[in-house]
Amino acid sequence: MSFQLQNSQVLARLKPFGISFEKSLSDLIKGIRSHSKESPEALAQFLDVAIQECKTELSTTDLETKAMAILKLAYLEMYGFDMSWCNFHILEIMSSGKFQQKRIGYLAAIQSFKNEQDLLILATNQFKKDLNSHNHIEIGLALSGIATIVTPNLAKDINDDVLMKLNHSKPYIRKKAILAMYKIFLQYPDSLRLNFQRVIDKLDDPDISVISATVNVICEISKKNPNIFINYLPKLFTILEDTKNNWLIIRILKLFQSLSKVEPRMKRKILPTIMDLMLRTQASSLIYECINCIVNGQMLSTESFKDSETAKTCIDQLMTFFKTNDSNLKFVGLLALINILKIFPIFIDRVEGVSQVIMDCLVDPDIIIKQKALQVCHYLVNEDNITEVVKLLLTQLIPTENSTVPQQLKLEVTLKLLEIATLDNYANIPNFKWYVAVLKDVINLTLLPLPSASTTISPQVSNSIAIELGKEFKNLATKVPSIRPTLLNNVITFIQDVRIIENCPSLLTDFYWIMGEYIDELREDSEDSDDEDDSQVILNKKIKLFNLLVNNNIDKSLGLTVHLNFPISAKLVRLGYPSVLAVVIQALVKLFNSIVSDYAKFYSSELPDDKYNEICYYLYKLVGFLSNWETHQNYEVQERALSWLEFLKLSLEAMTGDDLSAIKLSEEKDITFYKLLREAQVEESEEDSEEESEEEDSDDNSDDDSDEYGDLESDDEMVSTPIAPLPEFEPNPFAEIEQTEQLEQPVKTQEEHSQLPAEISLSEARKLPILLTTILPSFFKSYQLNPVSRNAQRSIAVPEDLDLDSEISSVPFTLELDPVQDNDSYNLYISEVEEEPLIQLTSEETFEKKKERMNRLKDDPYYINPEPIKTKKKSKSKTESESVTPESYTEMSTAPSVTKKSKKSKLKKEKVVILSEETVEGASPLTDLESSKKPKKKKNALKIDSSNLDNFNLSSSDVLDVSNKNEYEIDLESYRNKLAEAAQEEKPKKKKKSKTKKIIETEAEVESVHSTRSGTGSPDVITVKPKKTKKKTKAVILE
Amino acid sequence: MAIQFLFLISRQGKTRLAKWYQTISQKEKSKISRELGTLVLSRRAKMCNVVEYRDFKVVYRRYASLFFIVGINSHDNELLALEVIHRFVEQMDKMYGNVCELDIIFGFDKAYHVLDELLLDGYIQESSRKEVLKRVDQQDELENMDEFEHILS
Repeated sequence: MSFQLQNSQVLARLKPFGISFEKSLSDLIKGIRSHSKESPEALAQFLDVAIQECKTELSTTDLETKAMAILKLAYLEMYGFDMSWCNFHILEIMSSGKFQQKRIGYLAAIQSFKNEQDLLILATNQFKKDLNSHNHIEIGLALSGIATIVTPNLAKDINDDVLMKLNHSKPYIRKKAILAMYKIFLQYPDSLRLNFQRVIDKLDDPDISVISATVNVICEISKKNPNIFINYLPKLFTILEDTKNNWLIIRILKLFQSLSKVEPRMKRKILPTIMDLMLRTQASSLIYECINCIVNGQMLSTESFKDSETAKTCIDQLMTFFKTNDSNLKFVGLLALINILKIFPIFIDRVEGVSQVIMDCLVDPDIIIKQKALQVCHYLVNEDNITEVVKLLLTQLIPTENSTVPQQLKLEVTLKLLEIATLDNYANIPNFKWYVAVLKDVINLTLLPLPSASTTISPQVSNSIAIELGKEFKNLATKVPSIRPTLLNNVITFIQDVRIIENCPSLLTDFYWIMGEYIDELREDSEDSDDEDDSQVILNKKIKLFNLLVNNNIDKSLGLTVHLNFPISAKLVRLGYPSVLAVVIQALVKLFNSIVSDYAKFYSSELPDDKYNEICYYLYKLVGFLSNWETHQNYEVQERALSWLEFLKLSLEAMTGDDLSAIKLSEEKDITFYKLLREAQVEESEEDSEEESEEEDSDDNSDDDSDEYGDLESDDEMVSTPIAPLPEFEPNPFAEIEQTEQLEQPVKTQEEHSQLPAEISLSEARKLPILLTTILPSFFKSYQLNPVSRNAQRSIAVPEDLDLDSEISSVPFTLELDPVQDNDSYNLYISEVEEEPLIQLTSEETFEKKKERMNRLKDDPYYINPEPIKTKKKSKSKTESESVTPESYTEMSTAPSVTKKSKKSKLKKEKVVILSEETVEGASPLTDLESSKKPKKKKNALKIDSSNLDNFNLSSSDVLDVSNKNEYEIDLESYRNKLAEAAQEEKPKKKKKSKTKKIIETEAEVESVHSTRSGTGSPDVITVKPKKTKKKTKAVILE
Repeated sequence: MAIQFLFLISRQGKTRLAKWYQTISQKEKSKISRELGTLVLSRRAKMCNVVEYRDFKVVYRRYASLFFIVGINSHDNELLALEVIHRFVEQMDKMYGNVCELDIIFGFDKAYHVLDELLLDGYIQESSRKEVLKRVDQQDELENMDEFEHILS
């Protein structure tokens, strides 16, 4: 150690040119390089040793050694080592008399110092000393340091010293001083208030670099507070016209951009100059800045013809950017183009080449260019090119051989696709079947894992895509009645796809809703099948779907854990998305309802016994499935499950009474069937254990089998019940029969035959209970659903007499736990009273009793008066007496008139009824919504915290100024006095004072903001500035 | 035109120079430079030199084996930032004489000195090519004077 020290001293004497300690530093660097080649551990070890060495070096008294150690640490800081622990040593080096060491000290300080309070108190003195050095290079060094390190306290203490340097003889110092002053202003806004004029004065500095720095400072302040500089526009304008320095010009343009936003009148004066600059210059950065200034400075208004000419010139200039093949120019050109297009969307067609540029950028391999182009591609879309644009967007979702699609892009493309499609209430969509196909592709490409790519999509992004797509499906279903059948088919396919529930369950919220709501509109896809066939196929499809969703219990009772027959059902039970569950409960009931009404349609109201039992069995399964959620932890799910369970259980009782034997029989049959199927499968897989895909295939088919099974059953029935039009069951819609099934069939039929006698004996026509035929549909079909605009509900006026505060009733009440109603409703449960012994419970209630109870319940807020329901039910029963046919309900749901599509060529515009959104009269569209959205303030660690200058006003007591112009001077004086006082006082006391001062100040600022806002444009309000210049500006602006 | 940070990374992703004009924690610093390193290094040569990161823009440029990465506000002029990078490289080139990565590694303090004369806390303080180097030279001279005195003493 000591040897090394001597060594370096010898070197220092031998080599007088500033490389005395380089050996030690280069040793370190070489060491790092050689060790990093070995292994990370070796490097870490080496670095630990090096830091330890530095520590020991710092503990010596020799400044030279210390400086060397600090320099090494500054190097290590780049490797992520914190060096704040040696801040005091850095300070010591900074105070060294030797410039070489001082320089190292400052270098390290700039890298390492942060808001260390106690340290900066010591540093303040050092800064002051250096600022007042006789050597201007030292002053410059100190100013650089101050600009980086400054904190509120330091700013206050050092303010006067830096201010003095504004008048230093050397421009080098003046330039640094003015930039350092900006940092002081940021930390200590009072200083700006006092020294504003001195900053402005620097615009007249003889040295161009000082002017440049001053413009820089003004430009930065004006971003926060442009108002205070408006009076100095003429001066800035002269600088702009005089200089040839592009750096300075760009900065002035930046400044004008901020000023123009608050002083629109300056546009007339400066716009010609800017245009001139733009057309004259060769520098693309300047052209770009000119366009930015014009566009972002809000100098373009859509109404003015002249402005649109200006915009066109700008676009012409930008088009040259795209011709250069320079990707940077392409990018910034695109940015500027986007900004112009946001104001003048028409130019995308008007100016030649613009739409092509956007299209090219959409397919650019550079993702950032692609994303930018995405932002504006909706301007591109019209009726004619929508398919082209959509295709382009879709191809962006397809990964290429060597690259994958980032998830953020997936989200953006999806959102944009939806935006393009829904533009003007689907005005551009040529054919909705095409659109549904597009949506299907989007789901496949974004949400479902692609077989080739290994990339996974994060749950958040997947979730937001799924929610958006789901919304779109729902929108489409409600708004475009003619597309519902197609949509429904697709939705059902997705519901049956186990990948959906695995990867993006949130999509299912809307899918289940559509399934439930529009299940009656299910049609067969193929065009040429005749109706009779169709309806049977559709019923089969519904039953298949139903089984798929609710048959979990079969797997359970078989004790299966892998290779389930009904994987979706099993997943659904355990699904962690309450919002989906809440919807699926309703949807299942609707699906069941649809199945029941289909049965009723086929067999009239009198069902053959076996059919009757089938429905019983479905109902039984549904009850069994819903009871999975009886104790669900989510309140909504539990509530819905429970209330439906109550109703369904009643229905089941109404159907079967106590006799569950038929159901048990069906269940057993089902279970044994799947058991046998399973065994056959296992055997097969043992026989040829080839690939897993084989097994999956057979899994899929097992779903089909359930229908197959149902079909067979009915085949048997055909013998006994000739009424039923059963041949429909013959053509198996799920054609591919695998070997397993064929193996299966003999077994099955045998089994069935053994049971046949029992069934036949029961066989007689039975009527479905009214609960199922009338009441259940009435829950869903009473009203037609129409799209309602987003904030229609908000604009419904609150009824005047609505008083939520006053008590409804003070009469004490007892809770009634038995909400089951009166005779009327009781009658509705069943058509054949004798068969239903259960209901006798209520039937025993006498009329008297009931009346008394009604009176009691009248004031019970938890009890809804049955009167209105009764009337409704009566009307229902009336229709029932006219032998209700399920068709009347299906008719109702298809009621909205659908104009027939003219299908000539594939993507010719079809005529489709698109329902417009209902809204309440006088509703102001979007305004309510808008106001509720408040922009979130995000804090960025990297942004300069210039919040101190937010709403900063030169005169904190502006309000008073309006009435009394002398106030300003008094105020100034008082501040000076305060400052002087503060300077004399002890430091801790000072802190306290400044705090209270600040509070007063902010209050004053708040007030002053009001005054300036209301008074922008009228120069009278701005009273701070000297009168002379004010007059001048007036003249210029009105010129 | 406020530059938030400027750093140099090698093709292997090693930091060669780092200047932060904001006070942020060491942890944050290394996170940003790591993230930006992978982001920038993954981009191909033909792509544009601007990327968006968080809510500001990052402008980078490659010179030989070094990537110069600069963070600017989202409203700042990207082309100007490229110009600043180029100016910085130009100055170093003059000072070291045909600058290469090793020059910057071993003379990192000099690179910082040039940068400090070109930018003052993220703001361009000198647009003249000569002026920056003149100032750095003056400082070097002053150092040598010290050295001289040291020897004399």
